[in-house]
Amino acid sequence: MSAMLQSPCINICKMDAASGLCIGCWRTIDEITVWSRSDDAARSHILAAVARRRMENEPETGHPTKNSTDHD
Amino acid sequence: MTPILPDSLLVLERGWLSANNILFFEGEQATLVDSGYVTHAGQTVALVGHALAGRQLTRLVNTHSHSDHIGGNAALKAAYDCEIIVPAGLHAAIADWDEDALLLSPLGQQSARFQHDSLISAGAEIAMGGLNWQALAVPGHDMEALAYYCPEKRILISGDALWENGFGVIFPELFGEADGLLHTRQTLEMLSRLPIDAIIPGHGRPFASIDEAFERAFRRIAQFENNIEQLAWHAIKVGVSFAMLERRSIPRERFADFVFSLPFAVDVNARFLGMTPDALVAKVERELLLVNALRLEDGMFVAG
Repeated sequence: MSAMLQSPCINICKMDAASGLCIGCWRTIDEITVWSRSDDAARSHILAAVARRRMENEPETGHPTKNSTDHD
Repeated sequence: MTPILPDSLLVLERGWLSANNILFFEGEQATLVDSGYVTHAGQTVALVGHALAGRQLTRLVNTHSHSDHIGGNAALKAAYDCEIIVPAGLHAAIADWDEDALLLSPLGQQSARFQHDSLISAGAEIAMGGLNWQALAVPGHDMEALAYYCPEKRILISGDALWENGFGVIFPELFGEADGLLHTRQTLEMLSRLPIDAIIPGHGRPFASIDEAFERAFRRIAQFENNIEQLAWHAIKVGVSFAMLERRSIPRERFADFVFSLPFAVDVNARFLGMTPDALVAKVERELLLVNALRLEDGMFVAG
C-alpha cells in the first residue's frame, strides 16, 4: 500500500456539532477514522474534500480555528 | 513502507498531541489501547464510537501513563463503562493521582483523573482482536511502560519505547534518577531481537522499516550516552513543542514567560545546561522555528 500523503491533523481534534467536521482539519469522523488504512488515492480524495470545505466555508464564517491566518 | 495489518485492529492516528489509539475488534466486543490527550477526548469517544459500529468497548489498555496516552480514559469510561487496565508498576501513581509521577505538573500538562480497574504485568498475555499479545517491560522513557507483542503476526505495539524515528524522551536522568539511559538501551536490545514485521508506535504511522528504525534509535541512544547535555537539550525542545501543541498559539512577547512556566524546562536547564534565561528562550525559539515546530505569524508563535 502506498500512503505517503500527510494527514491534515493540526492537533486541535474537536468536532463542530453543527457541521460534523473537525474544527482543526475539516474532516468528518469517518474520514479521520479511516485515515491510517487509506492509500494515497483515498487520502487525496479526502484532502480534496477538505480543500473544498475550507474554500466554501472560510469566506463566510471567518477562520475555523483561532490561529488560522488565511487572509489577504 | 506501510505494513499490512490484520483486519481485527484499527489504528486511529491523529497528530503528535494524542498518542495513537488502537482499536481491536472481538466479535461483538472491542478493546482499545491508549486514549489520547484530554483536550481531544470528545473526539476520541466519537471516533471509537464510529469504529465500534454497534460493538461494545469492554476494555481499555494503556501502554504507560503519560498525558497523551491516558487523557481519554475518563471520557471513554464514562461513555462505554469499559474496564481500564494499566501497567502494574503504575498502580500507585494512578491510584494516588500523583501529578509529579505522572509528569503532569513538571511538563505543564493536563489530564482527567480516572481509576483503573485492573493491572497487567510484564510477562502476562492478553488476547486482543483474536490474537495473543505478550506484555513486555520496556523501561526507559517511562520506567513502568509496557509494549505488546504478537508473535504470531510479528507485530509490536511499542508505545513510546520505539518510534519510526527515535523514541520518547528519556526522563529519569533529567529528574536526577538513575539508569534511564541504561534501561533504554537494554529495552532497544531486547526489542531488536524479536522477529518483527510491523510496528504500531505510540505516535506516527505504523511502519515496516524495522531495521532502519532500530539503527536510528541505537544511534540516538549512543549520542545521549556520550553527551547528556544533548539529551537535556532535546528534552527541553520536546517539552516546549508538546506544550505548544496544546497551547496552539501565543503572542511572541509572551513566549519567554511560557517557557519559564514549564518547570521541566527550567529545571533541566539549571541542572544540565546552565544557560541564562534569555539565552535559553532565544535558543528554543531559534531551533523550533528552524524545524517548523513553531511558526511566526503576525507576531504570534503558532505550533507547527
